[in-house]
Amino acid sequence: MGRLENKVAIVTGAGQGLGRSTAQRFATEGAKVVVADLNQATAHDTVQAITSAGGEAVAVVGDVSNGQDAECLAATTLAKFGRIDILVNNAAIFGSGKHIAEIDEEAWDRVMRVNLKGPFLCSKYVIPPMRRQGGGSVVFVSSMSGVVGNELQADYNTSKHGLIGLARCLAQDCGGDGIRANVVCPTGMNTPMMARTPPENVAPYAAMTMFARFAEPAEVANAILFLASDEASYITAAVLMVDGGATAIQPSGRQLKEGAARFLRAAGQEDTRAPSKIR
Amino acid sequence: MPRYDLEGRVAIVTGAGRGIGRAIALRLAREGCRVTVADLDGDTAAQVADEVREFGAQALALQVDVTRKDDVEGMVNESIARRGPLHILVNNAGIGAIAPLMETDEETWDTLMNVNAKGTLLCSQAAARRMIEQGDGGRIINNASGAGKTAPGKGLPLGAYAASKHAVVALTKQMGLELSDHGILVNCVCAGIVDTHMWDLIDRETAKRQGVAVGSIKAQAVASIPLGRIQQPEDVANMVAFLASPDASYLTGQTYNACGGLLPY
Repeated sequence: MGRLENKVAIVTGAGQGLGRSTAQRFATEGAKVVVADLNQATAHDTVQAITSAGGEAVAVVGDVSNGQDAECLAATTLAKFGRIDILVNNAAIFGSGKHIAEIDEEAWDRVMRVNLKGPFLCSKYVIPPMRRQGGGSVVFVSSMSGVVGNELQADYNTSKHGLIGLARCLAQDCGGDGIRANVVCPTGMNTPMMARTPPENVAPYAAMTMFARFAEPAEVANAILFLASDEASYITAAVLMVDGGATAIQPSGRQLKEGAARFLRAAGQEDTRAPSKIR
Repeated sequence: MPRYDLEGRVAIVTGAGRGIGRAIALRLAREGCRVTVADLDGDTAAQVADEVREFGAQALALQVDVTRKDDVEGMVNESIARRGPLHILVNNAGIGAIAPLMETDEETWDTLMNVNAKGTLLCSQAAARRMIEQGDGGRIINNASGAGKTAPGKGLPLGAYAASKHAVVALTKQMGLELSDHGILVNCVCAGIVDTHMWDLIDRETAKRQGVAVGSIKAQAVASIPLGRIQQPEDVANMVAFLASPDASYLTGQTYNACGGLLPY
């Protein structure tokens, strides 16, 4: 028997990357999965992957940052499967990658709308059915960026910090209803997008972890599964760092240098950067 | 029914004669582990080992004082000699003491630090040495407590205990770093208010100090848990089983709350 047998789960941003990995893992564990994504084609690809493996899934196309779409996501799930046990707030976009003084207002608003308001709205509309059922589990996908500062990431990191606050408050408001809210904070992951990024650009981040490597999406999906499942029935308001220990240490210059070299060796590249660039 | 792929793994659980340690030993056994049940009280260790055997799993009971290096090395050596290579160590043995810091005597401080902090270090050193020789990685899971992150609050005079548990959290971080190249993952669990002998002791001693009814301290503490119920040892075991499992392959050096939302961070 699967770890999510008879559960109904919504995974947002499930058309690709971590969201898809999570949706697939959930289905393998017996959950009926609602694959929510803005992109119809990728959402259907995920559903296809799940159903062809014998799982059960439907696609719901919509924008999590739009209140009507978020309400519709919950309503469609109820209409299709009759209940909502799990919501994984995974859908997110990258920041503008600019210096804080250069981030324009529209870009800031867009990041906050998708990364923070979206999870708020999706959570808001699953709470009443979860309450009626006597409980549920909401998992927020934040990031290592949710607990530290990074250069040129003021918009993204602020939104990811915000998710932790949102989850902790949801846990306080809804604990009495048996609804749990938790957070996973991954480092970088070996997603298709990471594969398209030059290794030397990301080596400093890999070097911050104790393993000098990024996580596989499946490793992060494992943690989401744990929090979503009844195994975590006493866990709420928790922040589960899935970061290879990165935030447990104040990395020394030597660690960052050796870690970056190790990462690049594994990626089949020599470390050609000046040590001064590794901080 | 097992939830993780831990069949045939060997685990040592310290302080496994009762309470949280017992629940962890039973849970890991249900996951297919061969369990070495270590406790200062050899009788309780033997009882738990019997419980494990009742559902067909292998168990080895050992009487161990985690503050004594010889005992600890004997525990690891005997477990390996009789049960094979060691994969998982759960540093659960711990004690509490109730006294405001201004009234904490040197002996109490030393005892808490010896059992809770030094015991964790000694057991980890002994286990990790063998795991490194085996060359196949391993898992070390430390049981801290909410008191490993915060001061337990007014009316709960657990200052020295908190200091010893903060030490366990710090050990977890550095140990994770130093053992990461060997594939040994080290993590820590912070439980909340668990329905065990230790909380009965905290309740009784604190109630006596405050001149209030026995049971009222625990009831007040439980009322502040967002999930609204006292924690069971099995709730802690759930977290430990996950951290011991292949599913936790990217987790190390970190401290995880399993406390019903009690802790502020």
